Parts: sequence; C-alpha cells; structure tokens
Amino acid sequence: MAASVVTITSGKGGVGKTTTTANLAVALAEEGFKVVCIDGDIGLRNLDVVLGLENRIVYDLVDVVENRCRLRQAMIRDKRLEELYLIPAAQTRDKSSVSPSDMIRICDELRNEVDWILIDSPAGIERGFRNTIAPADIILVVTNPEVSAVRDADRIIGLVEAEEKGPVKLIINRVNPALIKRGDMLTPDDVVELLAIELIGIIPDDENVIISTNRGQPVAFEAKSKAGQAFKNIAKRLKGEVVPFIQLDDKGDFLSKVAGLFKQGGD
Amino acid sequence: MEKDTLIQIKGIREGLLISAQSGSWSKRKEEILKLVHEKASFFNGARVCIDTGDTLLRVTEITNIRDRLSDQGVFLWAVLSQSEITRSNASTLGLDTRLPVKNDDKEIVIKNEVARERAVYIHRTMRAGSRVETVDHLIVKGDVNPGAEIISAGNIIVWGKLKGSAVAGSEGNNKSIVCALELRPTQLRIGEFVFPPMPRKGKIFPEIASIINDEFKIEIWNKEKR
Repeated sequence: MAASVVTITSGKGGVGKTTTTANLAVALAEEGFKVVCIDGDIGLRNLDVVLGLENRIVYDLVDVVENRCRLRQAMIRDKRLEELYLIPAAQTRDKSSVSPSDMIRICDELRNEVDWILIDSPAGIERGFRNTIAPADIILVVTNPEVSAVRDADRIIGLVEAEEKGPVKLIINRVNPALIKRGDMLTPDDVVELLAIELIGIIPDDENVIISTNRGQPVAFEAKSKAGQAFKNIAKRLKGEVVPFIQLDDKGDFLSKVAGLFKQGGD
Repeated sequence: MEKDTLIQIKGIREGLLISAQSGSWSKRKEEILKLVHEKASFFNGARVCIDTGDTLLRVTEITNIRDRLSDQGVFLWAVLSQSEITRSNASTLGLDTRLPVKNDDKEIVIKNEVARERAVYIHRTMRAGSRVETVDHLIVKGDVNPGAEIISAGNIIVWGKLKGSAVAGSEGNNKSIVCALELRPTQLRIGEFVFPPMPRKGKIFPEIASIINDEFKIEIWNKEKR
C-alpha cells in the first residue's frame, strides 16, 4: 500500500499539533501500521521530545535535504513500537533550509516503504507551513475551543482550500465539559458550525497529556486515559472505520444538549 | 508594444514587470519560464510581477507558476489582472494585485464608470484573512466568517451568515445597503457611518442594514410585504 501523507497544522501555536502528531503516530503504529513522523518545525523542533527520542538524534531533515545522509539514516526507530519512526527537524537552521519540493521528494521516497507519513507543521502561515502542506494528502487542522484559535484555524483552512489541497479535517483539542456546561467555552458544535469542515476528533482536556508529554511517553500508550482513547479513535477514523465520538460526560449526549441551551456569539 | 511577442518585460521600481496579455495561458506560461531559464543569471533572485491581461486564472494556475518560478529562484510577488476573479485568487494566495500607485499610469487598472450597474459574485465561504474589494455591488453566496473583509462601493448581499467586516458604499455612498440571512458582522460600515456593535437577540431573521436620515437602521427582511 502506498502511504498517505497526513499533515497536522493549526495556524495558532500551542493548540496541540505536536502532541496530536505524536499520539496519532503511536496509535497508528499500535494498529500495526508502519508510521513515519516528520517534524516540520525546523529551528523549533520538539516532536522528538514529546516522543522521547531526543537523545537519539544523529541526522535530521536538513541533513537529508542537503545530502549529508541517506533518508534511512535520519529515521529514528522508536524502541517501544516496532514500526514507528521519526525524522527530526534541525534545531540550528531555519524554515528556508527546506523547500516545498524537497518535502514532496522526501515523502515520495517514503511512500512505498511505509503506511502513514505524519508531518507536524509549525505555527504560522509562512514558509514552514507551505513546506508541510505541499506533500499532504490529508490535512488535519487542530484547534482549541477558543475564539482566537478558531479564527486562525479558519484562516488556515482558507489557505489550504486556495491551494486546492485536501480533504481537510478538524480536531478539536482540550475540550473541557465543565466549562462548556457553565457556558464558558465554545461547544464543538459551535466550532464545527463556523469552520464547516468534517470533524474527525474531539480530545478532552486531560492533565495526563502534560505529564506524558514531559515524560516523552504519549498518552496513546495508556489504555485508561480519555485523551489517549480519543487519539486512538482518530487513528481508527483515519483508516476508515466509523467510530462514535466519545462521551465527555456521564449524563448522556451533553454535546447536543448544551448546544441547544447555549448559542454564543460566533465571534 | 509589439504584437508578435507574447510577453514583454520591463524594469519597474518594485522589480520586474512581465506583461503577458495575449495568447493561451499555457503558452504564455511556457514562454515566461523559458525566458527565465535562458536568462537565469539575469532573473535569479528577481522580484517579478505578472500582468495577465483579462485572463481568468485559477488558484492552481497561479500556484503553479509561482512555484515553478520559485524553483528558478524568482519570487512572484504580484499578479495584475483585469479579471476580478484572477485578482481575488491571487490575493487569497497572499500575492499583491496592484502596483503601488505612482506616475506609471499605464499599469493601473481603470475601473469603469458604470460600476454600480455591475456586481461581483462570490460563491464560497469567505474565511478569516480573505478579502474582497470591488467598486461594483457584491454578492456572496456562503458565509463571511469573522476575520474576513468584504468591501463594495455599492450594495452587499450575503446569502449566508455575515460575521466578518463589511463596508458598503465604500466610496462614500450612504444610500448603500447591506443584507444577510444572518446579520451579525464584527464591524459594519455604510458610506461614512460605522454601525455601533449589534447585540444579538433571540431568533435570527434575514436583515437589511441601511442609513436613513443619518440614522442606523436594521430591519427584518419581509417583515411585511415589501
């Protein structure tokens, strides 16, 4: 099977692109796929930290682009999972060290060898973003239920649509049922209504995510974590399974209930 | 200008202006790329602007030439066109669509005088960061999201939700109107007037905003028979 290239992007920083990339990679690898993640955030790399592979970096993406090593040599294999690899970003260079056509070339080289290529996009809409969008078959836009993050997600979706890339799918991260109940947070329905793209995942706010990120052990490894489960569900949906969205609340379908009660200004 | 060549190049203050106004687009594109390739040392590192005449260019066509030029070390910073659609496509990609106004009158697109008889029609959702400006009326079928801007010297009709910024009568026509199926703009201006923030009440109706006797007026569409 030729690999699908999935780019994880957001526009705004700090909404959870890297965490999402790491967890989806783990979840897909646990399903038995061969997965390569590429850190597209050159100069501000951190996917290696989240995956706990920081101390094993020898070569990076820029070394591959500039022919200082073969692609294989830059692929760090995860020790916990047989078929999970990371191509780290360079820390000491900047986004202009790589061009969109370099990214397309590297992904094409990988396509026949692996099942999934996940690319972690940097924040912003400049060169780094263009690099990571260029090879993508599927684009996952991550946002938080906050007005500013949704605004940036909207801008990103517009840019992706203008390049006629896609499909574009939405992940809403850090959803807090208690805040929604009090009417202090946009509901997933509000976000989907504004952005008008297909929803592929809702990740509940979960402090385990922070703990696991610091440990370099993504929550998708933990069977009990709600956020980990949500990431696993996204992985299943990516491969085409129909999985119902998890309940964030015990009392039935809170999403539709709350959405009816509370319509906040979309701004 | 000679008629037998497809493209003309001249130096302007901002870089190079490539004028390619006639012939099929694919032919013109190849001509441009060929020239850039042949005179690589001249073009390397250049900032160019392409005048495409009245050709309608799709976004992919613009990205294609942008990327192919960029492979040759040439930076495309603007696309000039008489086609509203081409300009709007170029500006979605973040390219400029006009040269800074100075004495070079030849490159400035002259708007026609019967402007208010015509309308620009946009059939898509306007997302944050996108912008349309026209001297004609403006019709959007789709939503105008927060962070998007629509500007018309005439009237604005949005068949969808208007949540971004809208300016009607941008050249000072206070008689212009703005109507939308859901009228809750971030900011609304008509002519010289800036509407005060509109608090949202319960049910949503299609509404029309206008200025009547120097006063802001927002009416529900079809409240009575119109």
